[in-house]
Amino acid sequence: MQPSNELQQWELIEAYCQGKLKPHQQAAFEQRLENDPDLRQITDDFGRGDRAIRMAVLEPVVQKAIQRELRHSAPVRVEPQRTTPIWRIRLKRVAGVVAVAALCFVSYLSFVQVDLRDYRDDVTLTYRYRDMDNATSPPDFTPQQRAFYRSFFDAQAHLANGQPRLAIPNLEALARNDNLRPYFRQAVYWHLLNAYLLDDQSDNAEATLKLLDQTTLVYPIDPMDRWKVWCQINLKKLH
Amino acid sequence: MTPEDMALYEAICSDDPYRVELATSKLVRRVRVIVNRIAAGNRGVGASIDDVVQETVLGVWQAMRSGRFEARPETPLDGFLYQVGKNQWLRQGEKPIVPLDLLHEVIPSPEPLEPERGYLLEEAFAQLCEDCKTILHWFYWEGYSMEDIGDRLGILDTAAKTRKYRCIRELGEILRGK
Repeated sequence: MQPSNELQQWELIEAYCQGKLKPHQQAAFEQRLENDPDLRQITDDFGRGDRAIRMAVLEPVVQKAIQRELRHSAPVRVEPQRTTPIWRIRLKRVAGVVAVAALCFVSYLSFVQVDLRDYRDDVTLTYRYRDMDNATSPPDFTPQQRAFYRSFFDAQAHLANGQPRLAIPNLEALARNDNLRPYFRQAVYWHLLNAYLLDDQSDNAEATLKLLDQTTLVYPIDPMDRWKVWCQINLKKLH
Repeated sequence: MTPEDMALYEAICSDDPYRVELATSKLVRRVRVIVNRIAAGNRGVGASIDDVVQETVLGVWQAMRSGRFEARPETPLDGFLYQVGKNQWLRQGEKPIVPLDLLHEVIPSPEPLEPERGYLLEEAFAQLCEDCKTILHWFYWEGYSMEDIGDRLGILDTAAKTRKYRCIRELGEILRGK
């Protein structure tokens, strides 16, 4: 298709630039473009101007449509992400340290056994017994009292040797006796419950602890040791 | 591109203001969802999503109209919208802290948009002769037919048409030089 005048030529160029030619027309026109550099230049320039002017005409339409659409939808605004305040970060760190320390403390209470050696040097119990062996001034012990002391110190020795099963009968026999003064009774209960713990008898240990708690404590038990036995009894019960 | 995407693309590229308007509204809704995702995954300093949406839609429209974005079946429209939206977000001074990989199939980042395009056209238009300015203004912005323009100029409509085409070519020549 060859245009017969200038207007037809322009109309052909416009139709080509706007993609309105039929495939065979387009192919024929492209063939002409290949053979005619001047026509190609004119077509390129026309296409550039045509696109620019059509865009300029439509841009207000697009902008108006955007504005209308945005106006009709709820406004969204991205708020800046707030950074965590320093005091909160520090508080978290402190809380973390406290939590770890608490965990270590509970582990210590639960797994470190009471050191009964601290209770072997109880002078309140031992001074009279020592005096008993002192030939110059023998204490006026009854045979029963003497047996009690021996039985108790034997049990302490068994516990120190890691033989709670040997200590338990002695201590149980002492605990059954009604004639013990409170101090000595509490010492017996304390050693007995530790012996039970060492022998994995948590129920008996718990019962003995309850007996100990029912009385006004006169025997000096370290509060930390008291918590240790409580934790260990409950831990063994969980198992 | 899905058939719906292709229909949207064709409408965006059409010269019918009504079609363009409807398509732009659809495009705004899609771009808004994408920009919201970008905003949600990035640290912001209070950027207005609406501003980013507006610039993104204009950029997409320009890229489609100018032929810089070619509609191809393997090119996902959402990927292109995401890229343009992310560029606009970054232009507003935002920096992503987490690279969004919501749309892995995104196409390579498109060329920078042309915010100065309108300015270039205005400048080129100013360089046209007065007759050309008048004819193009009457035809494209005032809505006169070529017959009316011919009457106003006292020439045949065919002569007016020819002059209009020459003016468009002249405008293209000026733009080529810029």
